[in-house]
Amino acid sequence: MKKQFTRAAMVAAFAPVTVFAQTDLNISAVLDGYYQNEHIEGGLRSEGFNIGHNELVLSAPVDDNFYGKLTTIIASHEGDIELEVEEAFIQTTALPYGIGVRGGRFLSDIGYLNNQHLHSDTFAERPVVYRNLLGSHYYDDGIRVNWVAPTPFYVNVFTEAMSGSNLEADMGHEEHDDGHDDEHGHDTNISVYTVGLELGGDIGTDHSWQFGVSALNNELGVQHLEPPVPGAIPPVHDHDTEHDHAHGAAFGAERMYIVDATYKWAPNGNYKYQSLTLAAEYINGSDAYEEFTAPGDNTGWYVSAAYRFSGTWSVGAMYSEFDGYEFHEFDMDPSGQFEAEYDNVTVKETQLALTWHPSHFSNIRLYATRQQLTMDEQETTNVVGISFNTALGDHGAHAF
Amino acid sequence: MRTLSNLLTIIAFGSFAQTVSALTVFACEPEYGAIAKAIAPDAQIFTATTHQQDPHHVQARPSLINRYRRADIGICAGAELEIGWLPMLQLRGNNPKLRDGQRTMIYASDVVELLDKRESVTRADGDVHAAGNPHIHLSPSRVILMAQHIGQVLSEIEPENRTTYLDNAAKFETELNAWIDANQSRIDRFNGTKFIGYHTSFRYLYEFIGAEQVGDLEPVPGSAPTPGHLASLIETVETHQPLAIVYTPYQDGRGASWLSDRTNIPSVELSYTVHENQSITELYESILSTLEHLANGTH
Repeated sequence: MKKQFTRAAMVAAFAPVTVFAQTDLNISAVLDGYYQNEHIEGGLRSEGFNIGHNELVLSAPVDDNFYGKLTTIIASHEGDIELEVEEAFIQTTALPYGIGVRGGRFLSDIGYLNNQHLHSDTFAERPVVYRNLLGSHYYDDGIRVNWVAPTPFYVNVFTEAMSGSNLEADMGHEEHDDGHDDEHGHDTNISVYTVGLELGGDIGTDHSWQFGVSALNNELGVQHLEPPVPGAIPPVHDHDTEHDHAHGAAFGAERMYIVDATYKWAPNGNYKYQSLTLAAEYINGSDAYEEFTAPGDNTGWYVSAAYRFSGTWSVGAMYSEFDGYEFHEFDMDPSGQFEAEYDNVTVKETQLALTWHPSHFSNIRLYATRQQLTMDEQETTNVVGISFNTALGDHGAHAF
Repeated sequence: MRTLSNLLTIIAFGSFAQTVSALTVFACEPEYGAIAKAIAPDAQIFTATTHQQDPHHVQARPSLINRYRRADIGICAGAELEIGWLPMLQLRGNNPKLRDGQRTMIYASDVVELLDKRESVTRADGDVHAAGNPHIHLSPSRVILMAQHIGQVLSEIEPENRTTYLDNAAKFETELNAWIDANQSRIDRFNGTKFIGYHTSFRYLYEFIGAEQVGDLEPVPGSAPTPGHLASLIETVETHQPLAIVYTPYQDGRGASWLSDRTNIPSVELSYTVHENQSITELYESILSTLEHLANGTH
């Protein structure tokens, strides 16, 4: 019996391989829909029935040297359908010494959540600090170089140069076309530079961790305040334009520092039946305004926990805070000098989620968010919603 | 910044000095680590999953990216078994040696013929892959082919050790065949037996011993047992009178116990792959003795 098996398997192994109409092009779609009773300030989701962050993804090895990926987002925003290219990049696969280069449009590697796709999130919205400083997830056109060190534990160092168009503080006020200098004399070809370090490893079979520090410098993150010319109509702060744009940050910052830590636990490393994920990040954004300095930085943080307690159910809770300054108007002091007045904006937000995962390809989520926003007075918003998120086609691997 | 890069250089060179002479193997599953160890006992072998982990559901953890980055050769099952995590390691690990298509990235699905290939799959079929069943290591003929292939590739990348690698591959084959010859009557005893299984994890074991899986605890591959489906299996058990309900150490045993309680057919956690330092032959012996205990009613 044994010999027959050996021979059969050998014949099969060395026989010419039949090529089916099969290719390594991955095509996938993510369908995302929801109903929620309210909209929260700065959130990507509107009230009522809506389609969310639907993705159409094509990816494949290009050749022996490159891998390529195109992610198109079809989202509904306040009744309008928006089509966005979130990723369109090539990544090297053949460079030696642990070096990788990515070019095109991609999600920046800063922070922990930023390079994760929204469809893999545990919560309905990104933490408020991500929404206000990074536009929920910062992607841009540019180039990244990273190096994975041959160390006993995981060490990854990266640097990126990006256009900055998605993190532009003066967005809606000035047009920057084709990289021409704006009126402040900035060369807007490359406005964002990032640098970061990620460390990670396992403790036994049950515990894994990752720690990161990153920094971002953004020339376009500064908002330029110009005092009114005598006799002219004073500029009105356009609240709606700036705050309701689907992608883009509500608050600027010339410099950002991010510290992130993630810990995961799963008995025997088996995530399917039971696992716990704890994550925390702190973001400091400074120098949001030029000419007239704000009284403080734009900063925030979150902590989150997600617990999968069976093969098909998980729960999550996240608390996040943000504290920042928004330009309000110009005042003239007794000596005739203009001074800028700022509103201090603080947000405290709790998000809860209960998710049913009938298969790897679908989930149904019940969620609730409580937001306390304080500007002049405190305003509390409670949101409840239900959503689905499903994947069609070849669904790619997820990051840690 | 300079201090940081100096520190990294020290860390990098420190570890480089330790591993400079040995070949580093990245095995996706323990069975391929065991085969690699039989062929290259001096190599540094890293196994990405343990015998208690479901190879379908592993996270692309930083530690795995790190090990992938440092490997000279990769050995995986293929046929999309590792699709949920290996592509992420490949995208983040920056290791040109372990790119798909390289001689040093070995997929069992490219080396041996897989059972249960399909011309098309739909989601109604559950988590199945057109390329076939990737759980090949319980097929002696197929692990022998893998050992020969690994020996061949290793001798190409380290020609100075060619004789060692090819001899060890031959020795692997001889030892496994000798075990089968010595235990043929014990194996033959299970010819024609029936099992209820969990997933198609033991497909190749059944082929090896001439057994058959008459029912699956999973309603469709990849989805957890449901009460309705388990209830429907009671009739299957009564019709076929299987020897046992078997599942792997990484699968949930509750469905199997439930069915066992209602049918008086034993349920057993059967070794699926090698434990630490176990050889493939030792794994086969362990599975065979568990089956014997079941058949003798001494489990």
